[in-house]
Amino acid sequence: MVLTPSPTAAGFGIYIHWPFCLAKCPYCDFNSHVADNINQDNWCNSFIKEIEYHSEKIEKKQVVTSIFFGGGTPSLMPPETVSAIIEAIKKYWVVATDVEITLEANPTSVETNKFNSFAKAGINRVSIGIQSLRDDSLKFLGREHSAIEAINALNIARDYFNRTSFDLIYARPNQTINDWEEELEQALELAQGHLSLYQLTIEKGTQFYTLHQRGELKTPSDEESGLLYETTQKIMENAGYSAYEVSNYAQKGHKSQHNLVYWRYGDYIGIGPGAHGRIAINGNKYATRAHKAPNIWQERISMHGTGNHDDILLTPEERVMEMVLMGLRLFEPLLFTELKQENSNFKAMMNWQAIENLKENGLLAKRQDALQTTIYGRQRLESILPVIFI
Amino acid sequence: MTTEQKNIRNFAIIAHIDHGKSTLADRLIQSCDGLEDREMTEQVLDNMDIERERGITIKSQTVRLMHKASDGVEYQLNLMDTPGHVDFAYEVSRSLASCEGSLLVVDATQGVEAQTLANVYQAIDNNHEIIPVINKVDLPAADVERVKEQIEDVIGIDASNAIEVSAKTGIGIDDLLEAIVTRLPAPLGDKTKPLKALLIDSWYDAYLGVVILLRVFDGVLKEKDKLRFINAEATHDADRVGVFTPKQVQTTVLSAGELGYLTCAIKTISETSIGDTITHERNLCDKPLTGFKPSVPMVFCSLFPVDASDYDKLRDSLGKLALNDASLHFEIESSTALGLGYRCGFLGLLHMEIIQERLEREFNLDLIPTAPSVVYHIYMNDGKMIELYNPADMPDVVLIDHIEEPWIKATILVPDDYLGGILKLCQERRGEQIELTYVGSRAMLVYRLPLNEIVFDFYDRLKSISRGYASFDYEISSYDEGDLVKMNILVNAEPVDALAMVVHRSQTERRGRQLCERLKDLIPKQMFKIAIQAAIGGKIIARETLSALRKDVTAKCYGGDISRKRKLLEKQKKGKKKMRQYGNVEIPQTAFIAALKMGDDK
Repeated sequence: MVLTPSPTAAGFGIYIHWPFCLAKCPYCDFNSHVADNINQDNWCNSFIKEIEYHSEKIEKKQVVTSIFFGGGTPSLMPPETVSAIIEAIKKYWVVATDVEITLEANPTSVETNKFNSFAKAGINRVSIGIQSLRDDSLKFLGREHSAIEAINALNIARDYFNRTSFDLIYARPNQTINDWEEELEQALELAQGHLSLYQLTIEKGTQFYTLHQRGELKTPSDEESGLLYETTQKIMENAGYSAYEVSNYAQKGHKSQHNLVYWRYGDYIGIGPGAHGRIAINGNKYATRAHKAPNIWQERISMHGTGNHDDILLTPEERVMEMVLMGLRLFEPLLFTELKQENSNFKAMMNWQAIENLKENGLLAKRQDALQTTIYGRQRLESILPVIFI
Repeated sequence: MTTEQKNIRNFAIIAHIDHGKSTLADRLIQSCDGLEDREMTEQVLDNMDIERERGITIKSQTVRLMHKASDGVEYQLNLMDTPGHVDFAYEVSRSLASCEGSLLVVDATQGVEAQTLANVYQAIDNNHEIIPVINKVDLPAADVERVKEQIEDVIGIDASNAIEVSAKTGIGIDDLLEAIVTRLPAPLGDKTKPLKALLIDSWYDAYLGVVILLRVFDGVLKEKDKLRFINAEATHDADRVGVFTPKQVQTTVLSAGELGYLTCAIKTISETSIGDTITHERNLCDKPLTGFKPSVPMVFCSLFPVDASDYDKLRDSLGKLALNDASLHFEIESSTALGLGYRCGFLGLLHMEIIQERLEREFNLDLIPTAPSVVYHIYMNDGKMIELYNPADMPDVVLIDHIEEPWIKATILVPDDYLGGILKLCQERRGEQIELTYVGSRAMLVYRLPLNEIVFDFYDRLKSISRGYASFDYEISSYDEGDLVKMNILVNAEPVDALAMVVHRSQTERRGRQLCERLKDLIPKQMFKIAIQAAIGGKIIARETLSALRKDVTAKCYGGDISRKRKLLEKQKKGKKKMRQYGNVEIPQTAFIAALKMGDDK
């Protein structure tokens, strides 16, 4: 089917999922796999074919505003593959002149040595998985790099990319407020405009989950993690970093444009094993998802021309719920005019009395034309969400 | 298959829960070839899943077994399996009234329990010949001599010729059958007299309608007879007449001394009253059997469906259960907190638990039960008396002259080590000691206690204090005046009607504090601070504060997670149906259930 994009569409993002890692981290529940030998040519072809498949669905004149290589460990990709993918995208669509092309990278020397080539391939932003600046914590988190390597990686990145970001994981077992304050201050000295600070979450199907179930891994109490979070907010604010999302902090001009597509409920296509997408076509919105297992995804592409599992038409109610649950994570208003575009009858879904109550109690901002969480509300978002819907 | 009356033996089995009554019945059935091996399931007579699982008998049953004794004569043995629990005391008494003898089964490793006592006294009242049977003698912990001593000391019957058996392995079963034939008397009664039969129990069968279990004392009952049910003042035609072996066998006739079943195309068991006398319409017996009394519910609680749309299902399900349980009472109730539901009356706590469990299990209902309560007699200033079934309906205090509450006489058997704790518990619960005697290393306590102290959490406390070794039984004794008040629980200043209760003034502080503390643990932290209070009238007697939730947002949320997150949110939204809103506080129903559950260690 050839589908015409909606005239109001404000461009779209492209997510590329590289599903391989050298080792599985004990906290990670992402679709990542450890494989012995990867047929790089094959993989490169699969990505190109999948891009081609999507190009038949989304018109050429649509503008690509961001590309994001995630995983897995996409910094393990051959730069040629990255280059081929970016070229393919340029072949099928209009790519914005200020397009943001991010690659997630690990800070080992093998990978930093490729930074130059990645930059040449078109990458203009890296997001480095540093996770901690303490060697003992890195070991605990199952990372294969040291704190020194992490600092080196950041220095090298600065030479090749306009923008860099890095991730840290905090609220680790036995981490005190003081420990974290020190680590974060050190991180701020190294930071170049953007930081993602995630509290350690124990996810099902990970090594940490098993340890946690057995009582061998203790995470901070709600009280402690609340205090850690509030402290983080304060330090970042003082350093001039705006908490533009629950766990993301940026100086002016450094927000992740690609991730903002997700949170603002814009359009994006997902390419690669297990990748998800949201595409609006003729006023309808489809949720797409690709087969998760790398070999099955590839097999499907060679047999059926796509690794896509299915496209699900989202109901107007589902669209509102998705937009709200993403939008309230941001430190910006979710305008009613935006919700109206997803569902003209969105107001009937909301519990306005509860919303009023949340405003009175300082969890939602007192706006008449939008929904917006306050700092106090944002850190209690999981409780707010079910309440604001009828 | 006719047996001379002198070759009939009717007997009941009396035992405490877990002392092996049902297993013993199974073994007797097997020994008499009542069932082939392949037909044996464990606890043949306990039909309901709930009976098998909990090891209790709810409905009475009979089995006719044929046994060739050592004298070469074939005897007809009618085994009566009776409910063992105090809640079903009346059913037990009618079952016992239909037999001439009892097997008193005592676990060789456990000894005599309070419940056994109550039932054995009833058997003695019914002039039963009693054969003590000591079960589980194969277990290493068996202490036969000690148990025999106990039987003699506690019950006061001769245990020197007790039969030692193991229902599990079959040891001693032949001796027991021989003892039944030689030691128990044949039934009295005259088959030439007008029909006089006792309605022992009844249940609803989807194919046959109501099935009546009966004992013929005089005369002969045949199919097609025109029958008169004296207390019910009803007339029915005998449809089918037969016995259980335990399979249903249509014998068409039952004569004086025999036990069996009868069907009469009766549609609901409310038309049949346990203890009723059945006779011939055209040839009435001289006078009805004595001891008839209609069933009276003693413990009340309200049941609300978790999902309000299940209300109709709850009504239909209660209706279906009532088909088989004449003692279950229910009427519509409307609660501001919990919506539409039913106020239900039960014979006792076990009965209540069983009904709740069956509703949840067999009818797949999610229920919120309110705190169990008893029936109070409210004497108004104008001299009128109101029976209060629901604390929420308590009239204005200024209109009340005084209130009376039901008291029980409780018998507790407890090992000496735990006596102190049990005495303290009884004292705390306003108990009045009547008797304290020793039986070996165990104390036997007789107390008068208010029933409303029992329905709350007494039984669980008793078990926890004695580590499960105390046994307990009770009978209702009287209604007495008490200083009773209505206690409200407030959540953020809003009263929760489902948690209102009538409490003795001396207990208000303890109960109020306990409930507030429990609710504090049970209500999940919310976005706001929550005050939980207990109040009498306008006076706050206990208070707990639940601090606001600190943080719960998911750290990471990207593209792929949207579908997952949305599904989670949809689930949470659905889960909100299971929440009840009090002002800006949402209380999950599980919190109600747990708060009201009897039994906690505080």
